[in-house]
Amino acid sequence: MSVRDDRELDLPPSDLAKLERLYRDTAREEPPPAVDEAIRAAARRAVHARPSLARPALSSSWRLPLSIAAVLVLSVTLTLMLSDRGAHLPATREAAAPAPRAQPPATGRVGRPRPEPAVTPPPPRTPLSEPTSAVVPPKLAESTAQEVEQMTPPGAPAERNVPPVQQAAATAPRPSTARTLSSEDSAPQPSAQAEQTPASNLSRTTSGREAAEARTAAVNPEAETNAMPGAQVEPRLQAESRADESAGAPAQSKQRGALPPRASATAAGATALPSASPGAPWEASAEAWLKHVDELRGAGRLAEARESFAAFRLRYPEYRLPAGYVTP
Amino acid sequence: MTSQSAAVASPAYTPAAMHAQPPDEELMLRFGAGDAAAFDTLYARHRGGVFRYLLRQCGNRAQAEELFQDIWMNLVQARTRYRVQAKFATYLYTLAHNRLMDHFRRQRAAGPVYDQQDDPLAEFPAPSTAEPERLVQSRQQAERLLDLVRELPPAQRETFLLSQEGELSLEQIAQATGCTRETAKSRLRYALAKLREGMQELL
Repeated sequence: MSVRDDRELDLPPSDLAKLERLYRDTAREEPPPAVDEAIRAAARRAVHARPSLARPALSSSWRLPLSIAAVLVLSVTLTLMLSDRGAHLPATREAAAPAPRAQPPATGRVGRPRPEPAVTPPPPRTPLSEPTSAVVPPKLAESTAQEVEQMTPPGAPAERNVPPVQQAAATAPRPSTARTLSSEDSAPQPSAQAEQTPASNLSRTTSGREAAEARTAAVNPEAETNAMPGAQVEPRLQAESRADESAGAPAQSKQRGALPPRASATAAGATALPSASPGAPWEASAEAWLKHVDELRGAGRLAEARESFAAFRLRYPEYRLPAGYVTP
Repeated sequence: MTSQSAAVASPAYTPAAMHAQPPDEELMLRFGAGDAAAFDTLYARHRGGVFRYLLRQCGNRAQAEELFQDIWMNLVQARTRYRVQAKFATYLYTLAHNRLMDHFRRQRAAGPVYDQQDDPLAEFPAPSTAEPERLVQSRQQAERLLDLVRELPPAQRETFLLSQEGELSLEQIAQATGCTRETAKSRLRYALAKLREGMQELL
């Protein structure tokens, strides 16, 4: 307190001095030596950990091979996923790989005259009668058919899902093969290749798409189950409640012995920063970070919100939270 | 020799050593640059004040110890980002205030929860054979004063503690608690008036 402050307090200086002296004589509590030692040790570790982090450690020699391996694994995985997806979504592949369209028509139709391309307007889109596998490269169509055959119960007729219109379309000649590139890109159109595609292939492709949808539907609930935050939140809440219980019992805290309760955790925190990635966009400002915490909390990801808030406090220890803000 | 007595006997904890040391801000900068010994000195200067501030505010020794560790660990983590913009004590007690507010928010508590088993005068010197009456009277005064401090409204109590434990001025208290200087002055004035009134017979 400065002299100016004392004057403004409207208190007799003698009384103020007595109060201050009495309080200072009275208030003598100090932190336990174990806490002192833990904090000082953590500070020493933090200081001494810096040069070792800057120095290339043994792990740095593994960094390049690990990166290459990770890239390879990711590439192979992506390739496999894309090829698998392409087999089940041939319409998507159609726009990307138009080359197979140039194949000649099937046997028995070679001599038939073909209409002029890009003159005839595209026929009305009838999704059921569209031979989606018509533009799929033969290898893809074969692999799709094999997959569907594996998924189809033995003895089930392959054409059972094909409506009569589609069967007729597979057998009857199509009037038009004219297609522009734009119409191809926007949606799959009937083409001359549909005529050369056997009806069994068409039905297999159709049932293959259904199988793919069924597989997607079967996978999604599992993904949602994995995304449920309760499994992660529950143990943490239990741990915190246990911590609160232990905090409420001073006798227990005295039994903790030489090492204080949070000494190990905080010492670990001295060298290991929280889980938020250093370049995360919300870390640019304290307000953005708090908004991110709110978003996490709103999404029910309470554990992540708490971790993010703890990291926020480490980064912005001086930041004053807005009035009424409830920490996660 | 116990570790506590060893800590007290350490040169960093003696008042003479403290006064021979450079100011807090310089010590903190040195700590940020990698000087661990600077932290020891800094810690020795402020450990008691920060701990008592937390203890009086949350009223529970175990919780105060936990918060105390958190605050110092935050300081350790933030050492490289420290810039001298104010008195170091203001910076430190701002960290303490923020951590305490986080704690209260998390607990959804309107105010501190006091641990009845925790005797605030446990470390007060016991009456000896010499001058027993005076010491008994001192202990009564101490008990009364701590009771009065405990009964203060949280904001007034915090202002009083920051002025006593952190030796902060009104401007610094206002900075640490996020209020205006006039508000801090008003709170401190009310707090002192209540303490003086309660201690009228004993002063």
